[in-house]
Amino acid sequence: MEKIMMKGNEALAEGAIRAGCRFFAGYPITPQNEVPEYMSRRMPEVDGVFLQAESEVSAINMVYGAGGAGCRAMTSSSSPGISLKQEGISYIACAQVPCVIVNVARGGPGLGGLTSSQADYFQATKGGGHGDYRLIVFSPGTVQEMVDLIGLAFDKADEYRNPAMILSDAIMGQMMEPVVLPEMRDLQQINKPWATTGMKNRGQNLINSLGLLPEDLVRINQELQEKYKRIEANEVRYAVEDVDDADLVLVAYGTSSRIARSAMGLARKEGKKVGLLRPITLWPFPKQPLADLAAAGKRFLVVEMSVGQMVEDVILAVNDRSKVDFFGVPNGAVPTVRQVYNRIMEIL
Amino acid sequence: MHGPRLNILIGAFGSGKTEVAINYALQLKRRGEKVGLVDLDIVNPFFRSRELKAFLRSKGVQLVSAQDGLEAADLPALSPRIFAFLQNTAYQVVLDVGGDPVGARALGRFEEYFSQEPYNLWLVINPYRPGCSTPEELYELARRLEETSKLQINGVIDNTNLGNETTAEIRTTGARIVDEAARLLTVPVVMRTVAPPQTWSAAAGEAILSLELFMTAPWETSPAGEVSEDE
Repeated sequence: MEKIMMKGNEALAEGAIRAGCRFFAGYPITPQNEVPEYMSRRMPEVDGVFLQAESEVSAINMVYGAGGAGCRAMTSSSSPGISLKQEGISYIACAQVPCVIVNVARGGPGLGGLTSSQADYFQATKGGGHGDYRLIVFSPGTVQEMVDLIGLAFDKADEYRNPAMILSDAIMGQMMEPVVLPEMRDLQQINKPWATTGMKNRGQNLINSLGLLPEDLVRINQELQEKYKRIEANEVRYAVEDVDDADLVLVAYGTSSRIARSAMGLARKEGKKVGLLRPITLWPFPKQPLADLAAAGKRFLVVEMSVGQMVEDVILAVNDRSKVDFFGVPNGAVPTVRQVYNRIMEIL
Repeated sequence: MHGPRLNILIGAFGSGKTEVAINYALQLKRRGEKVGLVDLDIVNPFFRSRELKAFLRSKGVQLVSAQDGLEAADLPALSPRIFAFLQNTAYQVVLDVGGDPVGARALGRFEEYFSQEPYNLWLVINPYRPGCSTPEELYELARRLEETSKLQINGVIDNTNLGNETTAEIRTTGARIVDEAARLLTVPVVMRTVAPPQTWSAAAGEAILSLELFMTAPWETSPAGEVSEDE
């Protein structure tokens, strides 16, 4: 397959279609608008449904319904819109309905601005809505990974019957890079015996998020926690570069990882031994690889496009075995390569 | 430089109009012209020429975009100062129009100027973008752009690229598609872009626009410098 130039948001949308997504509901908000726009054009071509909902709350509940009926379903939005969806996401997590939620994050809090942001890390990885639940959260670091990870997100959502999230940001969504697109997924291969597809010759399938009797709610929660343990054991994904000889390991995801990599290159030119660990799943978080690097005597510098959220998970993983420093910027600003480089040189 | 002083760049979303517009404006400036660059992008609030306002001013290129104070908004609010450039015949004007027919709609507002004097309306093409890979698709796009803008395309710009993975083979394949699209539209290929270190051996009479890439990501080096450092 030939490479083409795609914007992150377009690549995400086409990647979803090729992964078998046939239902999209969403509501306009910058900087994710290319996703619904692309879907509105493309879904009719593959006999799928594109629906511009009347609100974010409606969109996520439509995804709940479509996912429950066994369709690969997704919604996308940007930070304030994702906040609005949280009640629905909590219901979907409890009802164990697979779906994919995309956040092309922008600067907050509040209405905020259109600049890129990584300040939705807590919201994505620590629940976001009410109750003890988790999303499988993927963080693309290239436009190619937009395509690859949304395919994986649909697969993992189905495998675990759990909502998955792509946490992107304005820069990742808007930038253009060459991509190779996968072949169209065969929809016949996607089998969901639990889905509400009409009883025909089987018993009733029931999908809800209700546990009025205390013992029912306990059972539901135990089942969820059991599943989250399996996800934590099997689905951690991350990438490392130049960590073997490194004295200092940068920890960054998405846009920040690109900036950190350039800063690492500058520092290496000055003979500084710097490496990079890039979490690809933000939940489950790569705790063990960080603990191992800490045990091997590496120090850490966490780089984020926020005033510090993922750094808390790095500190927990390192657990006082080594030192963790932080460089971040308040929303509205984007860290520069030079700033990160200067911070590296202060430490080493 | 003779010929029309109003140079309008249109094209599909993401075809590279802004990059071409900035580089073409700088080229005109180097030829000693007075140059105004008009950012008419009402479609996309990212990677717009307005982010380079200070740099362009230092190079002597006047940039007009959104209404003052609304540069970072996703509002279709254009500055009334655009009229000053359109009226002042001492200026070469480069108009960077937003992508797709929806972006070309912004041109309708300035129709009276284009009916008073000749203009270049150039279609910027990158065949490595989705929906732009065949001459037929490009022909359809051109007709829709003409319909929305109520203007006539009279040249195409070959902006074939696959970012930093552009090879000689990609460049040649793209040029063939652009040539065929131009033939269908019965207009000339007025310019081909090349981003060094890539090269292109120009045919006789072919204009080459050597690109410096300004629409960079925060981890790439921009020729405009690192503007946000230690502010």
